[in-house]
Amino acid sequence: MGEVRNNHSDNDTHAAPVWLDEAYLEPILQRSKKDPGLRILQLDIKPATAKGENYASIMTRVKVNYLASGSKVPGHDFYIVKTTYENDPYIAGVFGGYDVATTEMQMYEKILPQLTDLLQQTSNPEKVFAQTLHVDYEHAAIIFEDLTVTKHQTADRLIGFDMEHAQLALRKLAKMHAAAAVLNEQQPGVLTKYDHGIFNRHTQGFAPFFTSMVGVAAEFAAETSELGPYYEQKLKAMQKRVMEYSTRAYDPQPDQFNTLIHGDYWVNNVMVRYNENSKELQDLVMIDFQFCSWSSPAVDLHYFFNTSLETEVRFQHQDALVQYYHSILVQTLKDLNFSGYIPTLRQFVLQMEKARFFAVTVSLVSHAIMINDQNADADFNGLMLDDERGRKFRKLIYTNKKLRDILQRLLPVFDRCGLLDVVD
Amino acid sequence: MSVTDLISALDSLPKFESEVIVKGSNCPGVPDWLTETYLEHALQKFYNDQALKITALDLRPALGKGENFGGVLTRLKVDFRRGDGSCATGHYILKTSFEGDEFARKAMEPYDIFNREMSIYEEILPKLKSLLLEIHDEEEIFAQTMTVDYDRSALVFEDLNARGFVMPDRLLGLDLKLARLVLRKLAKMHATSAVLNERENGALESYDRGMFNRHTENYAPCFLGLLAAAKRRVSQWPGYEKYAEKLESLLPIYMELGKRVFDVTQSHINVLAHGDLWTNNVLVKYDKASGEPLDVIIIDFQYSAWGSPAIDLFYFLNSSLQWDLHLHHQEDLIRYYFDIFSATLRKLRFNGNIPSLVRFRHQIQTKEFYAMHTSCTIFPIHRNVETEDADFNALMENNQRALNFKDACLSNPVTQRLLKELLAVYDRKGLLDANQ
Repeated sequence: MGEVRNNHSDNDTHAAPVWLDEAYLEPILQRSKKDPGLRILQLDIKPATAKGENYASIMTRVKVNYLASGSKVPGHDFYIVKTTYENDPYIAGVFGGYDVATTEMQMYEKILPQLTDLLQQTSNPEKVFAQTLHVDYEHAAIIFEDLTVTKHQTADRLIGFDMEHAQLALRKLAKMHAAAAVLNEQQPGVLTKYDHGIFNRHTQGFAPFFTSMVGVAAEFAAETSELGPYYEQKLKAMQKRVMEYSTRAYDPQPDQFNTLIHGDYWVNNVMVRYNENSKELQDLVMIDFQFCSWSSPAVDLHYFFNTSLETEVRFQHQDALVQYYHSILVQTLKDLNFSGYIPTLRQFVLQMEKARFFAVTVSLVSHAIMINDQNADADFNGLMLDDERGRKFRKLIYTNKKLRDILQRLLPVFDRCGLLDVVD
Repeated sequence: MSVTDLISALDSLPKFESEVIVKGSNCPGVPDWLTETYLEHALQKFYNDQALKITALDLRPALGKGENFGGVLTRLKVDFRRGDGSCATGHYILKTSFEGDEFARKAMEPYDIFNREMSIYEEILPKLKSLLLEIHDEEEIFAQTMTVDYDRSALVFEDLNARGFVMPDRLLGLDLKLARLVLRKLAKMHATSAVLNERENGALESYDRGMFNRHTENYAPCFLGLLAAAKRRVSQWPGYEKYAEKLESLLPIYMELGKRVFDVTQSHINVLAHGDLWTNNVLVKYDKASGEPLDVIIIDFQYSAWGSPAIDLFYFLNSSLQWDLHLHHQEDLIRYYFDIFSATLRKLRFNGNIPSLVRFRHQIQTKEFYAMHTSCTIFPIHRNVETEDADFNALMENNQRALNFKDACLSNPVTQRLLKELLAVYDRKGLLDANQ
């Protein structure tokens, strides 16, 4: 399993925020530890994200040496500070439309702590989220515990999860989904107002990216003998509908089970922990709540399945994983005395089918950039802009052999289900 | 013993060879009224030739035990001379209902299978053929009707055997080419029926007595008995206990789940479903030289009902295919069917909503219980090799003989292998849960 890369030269990482200093952090720590006499002795600040790891935010790792009141021995705490691309107006403009900073701040400040409280009441409580230290709306910054300190690490996005990891990831997801449904039942409207997922009815900011990538996929099909002009034509025609069809998967339907979905649930947005000695998988925490929205859980599942699984698990065991996810969802909903609609497994399977077009988008576009190992132009401009650099980068993404092999198998599966047909 | 050996053994069983009958008949199952005179009148009407005369008549039983539970079939070979002096030979099948067995008659009565088949051969199928001719499609889907006699519950249609059509091997299942041939015919039959229903203001919607329906549960002992037999067999397999439990828990809700498949969902595309589409209701013409299948004809419309195409699709795809197709290629075949179905609807200018493949799949998926039902209870009967006790009573009753018969069906190794593969698949799709 890989680690988050953090030992790169300055060209490959992003700079830490200027306002992050002792004077800023001390009162925050004092409040958090209920210790007005606490003093910060030393701050160690390091950039934490490399290019290609995160297109939407900047992460900074903070190590704090402090002295608690009446203590002679210094304490150490570790945090991650998460901020946005405030300085780049283009990026800020696009992401602004998605409200990502606000959503995530509200998640960490208000929502996740309430979900945690709810989950504490279940018969098998477990940690699902990182604990929030502080949310700063003015600087659009979130500070939460650094999970690497408790030996959590990011998994290898190039390989994906086996069944064991996948089940653990789905168990946590199911608990989040269940707790969120219950929270909204207790406080009607508190979560249904979140409607700025990656696909939403307010902005099409990412459209150039998705549309152009489907075009690259069409070219890939044309030059692959097993696929050929049939698929090329279908994908070319699909370009102008991919945004609408994907957004339909997100629209909450009244006769389905809806909840607050994660919205970007893939390998890089969980952190896993192994036993130091036995190397056994022990725990998993969910991170990164920028794209939460009130939708069908099928969105999270199709996204997860098509970005985060080992290839054979993806092709052969999705049904079993859905069944597993569903069992935890139902168990947790019942544990929390949810009195709303709880879908049967069959009903949930049909709900997954209704949103299945989203698997196409995720497979052709999202997964393509996630298993990209060519990092030179791997930034937001490379994804979005219709310039020489952007076109070159997007084409390069599709030279990835693993991606090509998967799509060669997957496109006929989608096609026989009618998912590559433009219907309106 | 391999499957091929079994088939050879079955084939070499002495067939019921009767004497050639010329006038009058003492052929078993053939009614008294079936005289040369009767047939002569029928032929005169059919050929619109009052001077037609029969010169020779040959009657033989058409099927053996285990091949058809829905009536008595007699093969007729009729030599006749037309009014203009020319001679010809007609080959027909006479189909009449069970007249002997009171138990069977009573059980089947509310399903009205004989009247239904007669009305379909008389009124519906010829109109479907006309619709195809409207779009210059000369595809042959059914046997041609010669005469329909409601008073006597008798149906005479052309004997396709005489044209070289034979029954495919019911134990092997159909290969890709044959499956597609059947699906092509089915698609056109479905499409024309949807159009006919539209043009005749819902006339086909009165066909509401399929195998599961809201008028009767007479076949419950058969379906529930087979489900129970499946459960008995599955519970013997280590590691399959939870599936056996799920099958058991389905018993109280099973008939209701079946009825929901047949309930008409108005917002979906609906058709006149065949209702019993499996290998034995399909006749194939093979090329004499290469052995390749050239054409198929669909027969036996006793269980036709207005409803979802899923009724036929899930039944056919889960009863009649070769192993690999059954397990891994149903989606391909559904697409193949759908492309022809929707194209035919379009050509005929169907006014209703023609769903996209994606929508169509969503629609039929609401009826997917029928796939599980077919694989788990129908497939075992169809593939049964112990045909000695294979009759209607063995299916419908609950006595020891009937239980033994059903257990025998579930002892077939092919059936067992199928269940071992598919139970897990159905379970993951939520189709084994009492609460679906």
